[in-house]
Amino acid sequence: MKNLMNFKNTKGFAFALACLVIGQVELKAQDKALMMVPETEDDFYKMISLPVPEDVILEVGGMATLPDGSLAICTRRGEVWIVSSPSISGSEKPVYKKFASGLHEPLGLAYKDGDIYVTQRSELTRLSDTDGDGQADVYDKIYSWPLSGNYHEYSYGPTFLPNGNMLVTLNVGWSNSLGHGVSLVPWRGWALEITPDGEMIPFAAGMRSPAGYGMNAEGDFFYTENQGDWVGSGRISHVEKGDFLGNAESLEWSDLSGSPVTLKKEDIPNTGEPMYDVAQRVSGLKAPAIWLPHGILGISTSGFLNDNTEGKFGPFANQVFVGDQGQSNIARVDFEKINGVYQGVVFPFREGFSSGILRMVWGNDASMFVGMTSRGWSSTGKELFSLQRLVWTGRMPFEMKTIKSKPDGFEIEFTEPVDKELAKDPANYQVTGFTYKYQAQYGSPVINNEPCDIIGVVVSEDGMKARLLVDNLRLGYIHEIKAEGVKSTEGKPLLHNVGYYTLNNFGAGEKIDQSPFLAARHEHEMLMKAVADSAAKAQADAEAKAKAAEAKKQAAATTPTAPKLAKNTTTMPAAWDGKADVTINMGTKPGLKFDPAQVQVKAGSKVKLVFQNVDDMLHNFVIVMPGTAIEVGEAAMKLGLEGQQKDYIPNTSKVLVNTKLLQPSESATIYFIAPTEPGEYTYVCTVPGHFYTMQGTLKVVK
Amino acid sequence: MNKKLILICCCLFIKAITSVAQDSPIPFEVLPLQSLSEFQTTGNNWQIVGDIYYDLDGGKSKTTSGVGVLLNTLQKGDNEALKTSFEHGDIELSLDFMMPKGSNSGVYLQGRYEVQLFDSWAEKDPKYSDAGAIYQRWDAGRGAGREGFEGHPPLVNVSRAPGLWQSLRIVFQAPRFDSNGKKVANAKFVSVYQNDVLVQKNIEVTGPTQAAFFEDEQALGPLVIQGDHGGVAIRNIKYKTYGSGKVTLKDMKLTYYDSIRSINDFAKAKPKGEMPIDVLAHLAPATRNEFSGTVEGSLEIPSDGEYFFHLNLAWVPDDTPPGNINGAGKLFIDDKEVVYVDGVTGKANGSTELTAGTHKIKLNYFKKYGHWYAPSNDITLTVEGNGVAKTALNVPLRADDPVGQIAVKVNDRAEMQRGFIMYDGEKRTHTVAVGEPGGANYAIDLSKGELLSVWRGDFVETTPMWYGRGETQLMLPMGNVIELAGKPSLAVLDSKDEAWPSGIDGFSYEGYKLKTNGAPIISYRIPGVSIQETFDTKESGKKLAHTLKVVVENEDLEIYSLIAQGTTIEKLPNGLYAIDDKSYYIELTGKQSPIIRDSADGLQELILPIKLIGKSGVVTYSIVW
Repeated sequence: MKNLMNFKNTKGFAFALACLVIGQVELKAQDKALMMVPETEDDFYKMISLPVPEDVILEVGGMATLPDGSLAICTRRGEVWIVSSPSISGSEKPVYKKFASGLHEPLGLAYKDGDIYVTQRSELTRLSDTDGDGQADVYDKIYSWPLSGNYHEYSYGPTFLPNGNMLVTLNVGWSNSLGHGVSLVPWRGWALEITPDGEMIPFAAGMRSPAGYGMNAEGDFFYTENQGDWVGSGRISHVEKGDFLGNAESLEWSDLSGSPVTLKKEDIPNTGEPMYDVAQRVSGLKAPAIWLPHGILGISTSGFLNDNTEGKFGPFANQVFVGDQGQSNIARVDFEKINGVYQGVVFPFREGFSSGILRMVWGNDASMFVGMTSRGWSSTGKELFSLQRLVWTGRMPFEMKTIKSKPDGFEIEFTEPVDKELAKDPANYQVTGFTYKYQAQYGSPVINNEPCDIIGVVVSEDGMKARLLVDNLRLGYIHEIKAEGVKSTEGKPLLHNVGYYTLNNFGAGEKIDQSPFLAARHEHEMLMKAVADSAAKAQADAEAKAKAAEAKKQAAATTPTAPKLAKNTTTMPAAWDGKADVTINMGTKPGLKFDPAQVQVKAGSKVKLVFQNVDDMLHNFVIVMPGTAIEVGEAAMKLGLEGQQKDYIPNTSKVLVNTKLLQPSESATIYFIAPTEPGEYTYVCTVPGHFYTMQGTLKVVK
Repeated sequence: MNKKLILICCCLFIKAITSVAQDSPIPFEVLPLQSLSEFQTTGNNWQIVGDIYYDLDGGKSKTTSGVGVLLNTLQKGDNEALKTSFEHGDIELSLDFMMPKGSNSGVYLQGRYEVQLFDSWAEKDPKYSDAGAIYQRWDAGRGAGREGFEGHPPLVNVSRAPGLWQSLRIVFQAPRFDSNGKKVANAKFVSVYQNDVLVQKNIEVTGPTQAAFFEDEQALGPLVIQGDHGGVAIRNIKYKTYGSGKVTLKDMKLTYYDSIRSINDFAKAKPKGEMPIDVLAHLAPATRNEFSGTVEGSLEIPSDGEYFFHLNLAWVPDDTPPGNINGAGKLFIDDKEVVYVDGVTGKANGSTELTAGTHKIKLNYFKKYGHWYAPSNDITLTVEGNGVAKTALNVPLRADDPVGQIAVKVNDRAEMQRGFIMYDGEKRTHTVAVGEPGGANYAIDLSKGELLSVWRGDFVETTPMWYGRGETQLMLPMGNVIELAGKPSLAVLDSKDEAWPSGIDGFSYEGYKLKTNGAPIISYRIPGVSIQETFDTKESGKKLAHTLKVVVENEDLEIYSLIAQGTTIEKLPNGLYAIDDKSYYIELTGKQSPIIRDSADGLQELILPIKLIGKSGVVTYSIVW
């Protein structure tokens, strides 16, 4: 850019700038041609599907690796299968043997000292094979808890603690008539510590749907949470005895004997402030270590797996992988503990699994086994259930290995040395802070999102680290850190160029002197202002011209054309004289379905459509051009942080009509003119994870 | 237990009870069985008695004189069938029957179409000749060995043991004829339930059964009970016969509104439009969760009498809090309010006297908002009257989404399934169901050590657990369920007179081990006592032995076992105990001295003290049904 400073004539300068941009584009294209095919996740982590015998419904609820390398898997239909020789390749098949059956929807399994432990809906159970025939013959109750009979009272675990005790985590129920979670019996919404001989110690409260659980490399216990009431987005919380983790319903039982939690339901303000802020004044409420932005890194957080493979699974030793049921993907997490409080970063890791991920475990060969089920909720991966294996190919992906907090910004560590010139340019990064509402209402939009100025970047001598000096960092906020412009020394772009850092405390260490960056920037800003002014003038000129042309065209038209309706028209156009040609009632059905799945209208007719979201999650209704549902859905996903604020409606001509994003039990009415061209249009819910499945057909006829 | 918890459990219980379905308000005609004069003249093989005892193994039977039970005992020589004095066409019939060992009889609708009665106890592969079957037809012209045809075995064999009362409910439609006497519709068994389990559904019969009492087909005929094949006892014969008259609803007009929020708004609401309709459904433009309408029409009544109406608005769930209803409805006939669905539930009944001819009908209904778990917007109005079968009026064509049945099958090993199961209208959440290879199945509440029920046949349907989200998580027994005491099987009592406790302090379920056949040995503890519970099938599933072993810390404890509870408990001449009006038997082994006593809740109990030898004791008895 330096040579540009020589231009004096601003007009000529703008022209040169344009030429330069074009030149760069051409150059990029050439680079790519030399680099062959762009790299994908699959180049580094291969996905292998394990065959499952046709008569086995392997809806994975829990999974553990046995010392002999077999997998023990419990299923939602209450069976436990031993899958031996799971590390197949070629035409090999693993061997399935039924170990136990008749359990009540076990959603967690652990192995210890020769026995298998499962968590059924009502009970933590130890299964033993005492006669050595490979089948359990003793089903011992370790501890049992009450149930109300509500379907949503899922029970997960156990996790073995170093003292030999076990932790289980228990969902709250879901009240159909109230439209939110409820804790109808003790200890729904709690984690319980249970001794091997069946003593129970209430451990922590405030859980909603604690489907994932486990320990990090330091041996601290975490659980993963699903978006819903009191949970603005998926999150991972560090759980210590006595914690209250956010869902107020569970506090119904904090007065029972043995409860280490003293908060009451009425102590929890339902103000919609950020959870971190509420936690500052409500003692005992713990904000999460890491938020997973909803729709971007999952929609229903599940399995939690620490990478203890010591590098056999790639460069992410001691980091944590987190699954997602709805989006069939896995994210990668790196924690850091500052002032005794966890926080850290989450990156995309691998997508495209074939069903809804619930569990991950390490095989003895350090490959990752991923157990899945989507029954009842549907997922991006269409299979009802699946068992897949993820294997590191041994190739090094160019990734942000981790991001650490610094007193004045972040330090990104890469897996391979970076092109220092690119890496030190702040323009190749972008940081945005945002958070969610802490409220009894279901979910939350992104709130308070503000860009964070990147003052400067210092790249380490070895090119493995980039230290970002960042302004406007806010405690308790999630910081989206993009490094789109960074390349490796070989010119490779990052495989995933974004991470989300939840900042609970600033990291320790020396601050970097900002003054040289500020000085350089001042000079740069003066220059850029000149460029911008010129560009703005050009833009204004062009717009004025276009406007004039349009006005001319309008005037030339013989008949005034009817004003085109906005895509989300919520009041009846006056021109309709109070009458629509047809009224369509659209609803939802459990399992990501529209009801009805097909609607027929006359081309060009005036349509009133009432969309009622009767499901227990967020949905919108979007009519798109034929065959573009996935394209529009993917564009909605690319809205990223702004997705929920924009009701997941991407700005594209493929979208013809849309409602806003509806809460459970909410309804919305829209008015539109049916397409004049007959054909089969699609209506789709563009919420990430929903759009692959949740589609219907709008048949437009003459 | 925590107080809140108790409160919640009570609420759930009350809810379950209020949702029990309503029976028809039209009383059945009853044959009092005071004397044989209630029937056409018959042979001396028939008699009226007060009670009958048939021995399980076919030993000597014993009658008790009295009235109320119709008894057929085969005589040497003449054995005749028993024909009713009345003739019937369409009929809904219900009766109890009891078979002596190995016996064969049958109920002939119109004297022509036979539902077979047979001692089919524990038959695994029921045929057209087993109980609950529609017996085959016969045509010699089909050639030797092929004469029999169109027999219909029961969908499932739910027969109980000889000497036990069993129930039979039949809904039958007579054949239809045109004015020339030509048959235009076959006779049809709409449904047959044996022991409350569906064994036949929508079976048309093309002509009289083999060896029917009439060879032709007619609009009317007597009900006949076969008397020449074997002994049988019958009681509680009840029926409703229906003529050809039907209630019809015509000339319907729907007036629809915009802003109805309460049932009282209809009087003042301004209609938004009107349209003619032909089915009972909200067909006017509206949203699926907000609509209101008034249907007016003409109700044609075939004959004078009292008519009973039942209105169901499917969008109103059964558990709506009264202050927050999502809809309601009211039915008027000739401007008189007959049925009011108040919105706390979606269902209500009402009745009114009507004369033959045309009446004015008006139905107001509204929906304010929807619940995803009550997605249907069906409006179902049914009517019935004396001689007029229950009919749903002007039903639109619709079908639910197809969902295939999911079930757990029992093969050569016992199967177990943990889950929720209904007992006495209440959802039990800590239960296990066990299916034994012989076809005997049972359910236990593990959290309380209570034996809930037994049934024979297939094991459990699990669709409500394993389809979609599994909203109810219920296991459904696939057979004829006998609900047992549902109280703790063992208790420590101060004396034999102390009331049986409804729960045991300090009771704890411990787990189970599997026997080699896959059935469980269940362990429990109560303070000072450890308990092991096992079940064994005997005589290929005909009997289920229930064994409880105890080991005590202190030999002074008086431990009792609750063997059975029921309205009646009789000791029979063969040593068995017949429980609950001969619903099932208890068979004790060895020299045990049970106590029959009155329970606190007005029933009878059979309890047995457990004799301790040293620190251990055992009780075993068999449930026979």
